[in-house]
Amino acid sequence: MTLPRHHPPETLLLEYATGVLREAQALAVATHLAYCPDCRRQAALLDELGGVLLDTLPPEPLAQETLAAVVARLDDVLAVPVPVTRTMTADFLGGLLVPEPLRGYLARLPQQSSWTVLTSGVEALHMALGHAPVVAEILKMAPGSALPVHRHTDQELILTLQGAFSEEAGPHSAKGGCYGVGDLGEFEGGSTHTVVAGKDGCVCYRVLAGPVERLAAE
Amino acid sequence: MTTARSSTEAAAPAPKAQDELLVATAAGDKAAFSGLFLHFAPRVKALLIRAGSPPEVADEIVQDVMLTVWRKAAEYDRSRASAAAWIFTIARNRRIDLLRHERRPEIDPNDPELRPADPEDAETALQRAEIGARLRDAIGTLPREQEEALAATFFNDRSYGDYAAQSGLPLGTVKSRLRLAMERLRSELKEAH
Repeated sequence: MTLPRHHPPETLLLEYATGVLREAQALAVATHLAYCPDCRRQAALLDELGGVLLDTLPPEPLAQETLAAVVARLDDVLAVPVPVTRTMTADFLGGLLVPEPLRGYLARLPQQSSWTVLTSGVEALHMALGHAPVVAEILKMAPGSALPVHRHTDQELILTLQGAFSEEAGPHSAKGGCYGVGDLGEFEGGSTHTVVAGKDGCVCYRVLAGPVERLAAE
Repeated sequence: MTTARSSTEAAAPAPKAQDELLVATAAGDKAAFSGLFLHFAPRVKALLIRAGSPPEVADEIVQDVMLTVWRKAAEYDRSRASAAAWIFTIARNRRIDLLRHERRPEIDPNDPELRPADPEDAETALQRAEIGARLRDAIGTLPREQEEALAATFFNDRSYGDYAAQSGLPLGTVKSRLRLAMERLRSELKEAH
């Protein structure tokens, strides 16, 4: 299996490590980590950095009795069993295996969740993560289908779970390229682009931080 | 701000000793746990206060964080992380849970779907310990404004945009300082090999 070629920018990994990133976006980054040993190593390095910074902070004194109070509670803290990870297929994705943490999020989706048609050949499964205007969803695109040229008012993250899509930059966007399984695309607010599914179609997790404006075809 | 040093400070455990205390804690050793507590609890409190928690709230969360350390100690793997890094992640995740009421999405290291790393790249615990020590030295060599941007990023629960607005710097400047800081740290780590 090939390794991902499109990675989160360093600043995004840093926001994930510090915990500033909100849940919907953090889910895209964390699931990319499952596909990408390189970024896992980067993320581990950032955690080490957090550890070094924590270790060198000037301490804030605690009330003297705090330690005794906590130690007195240690025996009451029952070992909570580690949740068993089942290699389960997310029903919504027709048996497609996706790694944690996305797998768990899909497993917790309400049974009555359903696909809505965004445009010809493109369906979305809404995931209730974050507050409006944030939209987190699974996108399923039929072979060759497209999201016509559109403009993002705010950041978009797309993580490919199956197949591939190609992204063609619009007049105000610098990027462009092919995104296969595990690839994470970050498109900044103000960017304009077209997304076209590959010959086998694609399934992606995507997060929109703000509304999308459809532009008339040129 | 005064930085009065208590007697426990003088005996601050070195990183390797911290890892050993955490491993002993996993085996149910309360004295080892107390040692970790004395060192880390006041620092976790400092982290929370920097992130904007009122001191009383910080006191509560510190207790929750340290009880979580006790409960999860068996999951600690010293070949993957230092004790300080592991406790940092526990504090970060409890903060997200308790203050923001959100889940923290994370990989499952035992997930069969996890794309494995090239075995040649696997870092041994020894190399990992070296990384911590190198990072410690490297942070000291950063230009002041880069170190500040990095510390603000880690300790203030705010986006770069908020930090930029608060410090009166353009967002691009903040991001480039962070990038420079990370490049510098990475190159210092490379020299170590």
